Amino acid sequence: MVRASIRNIAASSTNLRVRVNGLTTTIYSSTFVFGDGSAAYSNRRSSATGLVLDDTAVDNGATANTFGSFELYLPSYTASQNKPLGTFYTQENNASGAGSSYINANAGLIRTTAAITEISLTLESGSMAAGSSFYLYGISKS
Amino acid sequence: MANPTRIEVNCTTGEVLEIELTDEEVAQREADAAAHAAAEAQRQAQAEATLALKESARAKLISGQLLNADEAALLVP
Repeated sequence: MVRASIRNIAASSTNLRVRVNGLTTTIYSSTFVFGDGSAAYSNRRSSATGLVLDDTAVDNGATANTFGSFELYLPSYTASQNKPLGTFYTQENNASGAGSSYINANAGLIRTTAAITEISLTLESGSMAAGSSFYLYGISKS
Repeated sequence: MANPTRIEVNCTTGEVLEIELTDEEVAQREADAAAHAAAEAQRQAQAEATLALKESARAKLISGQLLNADEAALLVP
């Protein structure tokens, strides 16, 4: 499991792209629900080149010291089968109005039978701000 | 100007490295972002088109007009 708290140094919130084992082929699929307090939608992305999680990182214009809170569950990460996963994250801007906070739940699949030995988390734009944090649980010596 | 860096953590050894992205990695990140933005724009356009069809179908039903094929398909997929 990965737990992260992420803020972007750029002026806009941005998506987080998750990849495993350095794989950039079309093996990532996801189904998610997304809501911002005034509207909600669901969507499915299949055969993508990465697991893209919308608006995971709080933008630099948001209330100081607020971060997007993110969890990724990757059970059976060593099993020689495709890897189901779940993610859950929220973005809270400590402000009122639509678009100031989000919640997203996602079920996904990574179609690789190789054991996962590497996870990369990349923002689509900007860079992670100081104070962003990342924790990895559930593996030997983590 | 230097490229952005990535932090690489080896959970077996505990080694932490800060590595500057190569030009190829920067280009890949930008290409990934552009591709996702294009896909999202397409999804948004599709969602708006569907909403417009629903509103049109609703108005026609209320006023007793005939629906076109696309509007009918919304009601009876």
